[in-house]
Amino acid sequence: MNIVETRNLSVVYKGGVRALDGLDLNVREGEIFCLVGPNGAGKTTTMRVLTTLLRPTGGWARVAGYDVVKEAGKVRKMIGYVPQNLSADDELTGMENMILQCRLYGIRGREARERSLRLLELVGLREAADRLVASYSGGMRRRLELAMGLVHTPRILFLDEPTLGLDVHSRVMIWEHIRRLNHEEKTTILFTTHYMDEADKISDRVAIIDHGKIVAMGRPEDLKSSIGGDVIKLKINGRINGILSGIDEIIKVDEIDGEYRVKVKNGEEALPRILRILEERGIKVVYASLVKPTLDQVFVEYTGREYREEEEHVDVRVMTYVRERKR
Amino acid sequence: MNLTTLSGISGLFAREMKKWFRQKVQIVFAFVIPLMWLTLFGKSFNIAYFLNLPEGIPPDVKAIVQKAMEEILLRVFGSLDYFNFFAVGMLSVFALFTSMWSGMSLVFDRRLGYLERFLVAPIPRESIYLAKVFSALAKGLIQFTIMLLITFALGLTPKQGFTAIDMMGLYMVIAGLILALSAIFTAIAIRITSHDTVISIANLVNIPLMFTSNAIFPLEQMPDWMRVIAAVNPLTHSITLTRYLVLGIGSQAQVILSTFYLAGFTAVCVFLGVAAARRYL
Ligand SMILES: Nc1ncnc2c1ncn2[C@@H]1O[C@H](COP(=O)(O)OP(=O)(O)O)[C@@H](O)[C@H]1O
Ligand SMILES: [Mg+2]
Repeated sequence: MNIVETRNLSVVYKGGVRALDGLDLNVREGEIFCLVGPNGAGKTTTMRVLTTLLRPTGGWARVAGYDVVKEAGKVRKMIGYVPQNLSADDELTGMENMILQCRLYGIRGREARERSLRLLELVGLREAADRLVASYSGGMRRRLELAMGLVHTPRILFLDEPTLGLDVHSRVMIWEHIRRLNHEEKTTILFTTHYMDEADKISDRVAIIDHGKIVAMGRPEDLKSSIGGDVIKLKINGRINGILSGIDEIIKVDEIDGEYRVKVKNGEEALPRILRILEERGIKVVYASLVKPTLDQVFVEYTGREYREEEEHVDVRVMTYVRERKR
Repeated sequence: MNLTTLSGISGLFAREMKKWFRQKVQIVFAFVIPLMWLTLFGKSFNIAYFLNLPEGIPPDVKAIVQKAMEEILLRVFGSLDYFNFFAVGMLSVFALFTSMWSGMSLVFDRRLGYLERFLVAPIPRESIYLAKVFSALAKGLIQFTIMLLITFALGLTPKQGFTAIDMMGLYMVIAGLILALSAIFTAIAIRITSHDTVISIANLVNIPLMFTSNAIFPLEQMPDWMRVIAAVNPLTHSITLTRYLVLGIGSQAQVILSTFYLAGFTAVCVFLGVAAARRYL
């Protein structure tokens, strides 16, 4: 069943920016789904439409079976949202933020306190529960945001760039929590990122978004093999000249700067066979390496442009600056 | 209104109050301007001085003139102590001074991204607005209580026979005024994204609203065009009512009119504010 579905979704902001341009998306119940693409591709805009914060200018979107415009109230009950820009109140403590979040979902009293403590424990913030959020590190804030998004055990959790601006350790922690949540609570996860490797490693399926359109969607493995398999780089003393023609997995052989690039379907199996044949023919192998395709290459294939990961400039520090000026 | 709505409003209300109580310095500073008005303006104008007639007037004439002057002053100010007249009027003006900032927290919530979190929650849009208005009311009433104590300390003398019922009436009038003003100023802030705009609006409205009411000078001696404005200014009606309750000044007819006006005005403001929040928040 598709828990999220959009058809021909478009958003034109005031001033004429076409942020979404006929976006078609479907997310299945229970999966970890990633929307990946460069900055300005329309990821946040998509999230804002799906979480009822922004009315689309065209097309439609359904979440958990409800229309995000006409049945916004019902959608809101089903979803949790962790926005890209931090939204926990830093003049309150972690616990106070959690209790407020509970109240917004009708959870009160002891129930609210117990849930909050359990979730804070889960994300490793039990110790810091009574400290003002202003004193939290970036990683702690993200984990608090995550816990806040979970108080009402949503069926689907929307995470907009949940690892933006985090160090490697904090990232790993966030992903552990999200995986566990998906596994144990069967929560559907829809997250965005502009890190292709993250999209590749974590998600069951990904959609690559560019200029407000989905350019490719599917399982990461399938997307990568769709652009034509692995590449084996070879440097040998001699020439190949058709000796490898007996291997079925080989798609094509290119020679670039004295180095052979053999495009194959299944690199792990093809590599030892190639090496054995070369050895049988008495050709000395200087080096051989297997290069697996990446989603970056998928992006290049489908858009004709290089993929550049740029850090977005609205990060934790900027937000903190704004907040401090306010005092 | 269901349980989730109530729980949402109370949660957001508690948040506002907690944040407010943590800003101790701001709370104290909020009293500086009102205190200056009361002590510097209120105490510098002494109408009883008008009764000191010049030397050389025959005693019998002097007695008549003095009597006449006294009657005039009593008719205009209701009291020979201008401070009484002024301080009670300013209690409503101070309610304006606090209410006109009530939109600020909404603007900051929007800017800092807090608002999005509230907006994705399954609570009606107007509950976010109402929580702001109610917290502005609670803060306003706490500040009013302190201001009232200060005015008493500075020499405000209520009418003979000032009762607990008058006191309750006073609180209800001020609560109505704060509710109406916070409802307007918070509703205006729904679509504002910059706090500079809030500051400009607050600075723009406070002087005209204060001077086109009977806070400082009585209505009766104002030019006609100004009395027209004063008649629709909610401050005028709040002040008329509070002067009646605290000082015993004013006619029954005026009191009835002002009661209806203020109650109606407050109801309309809250109603329109809720409608605006539903539509635009
Ligand atoms: N509030 C807005 N008003 C006008 N343009 C916007 C607004 N928000 C985003 N945009 C523009 O819409 C496009 C998509 O933005 P966004 O959805 O934030 O992308 P992403 O999250 O993928 O970085 C960008 O060109 C951005 O500049
Ligand atoms: Mg974004």
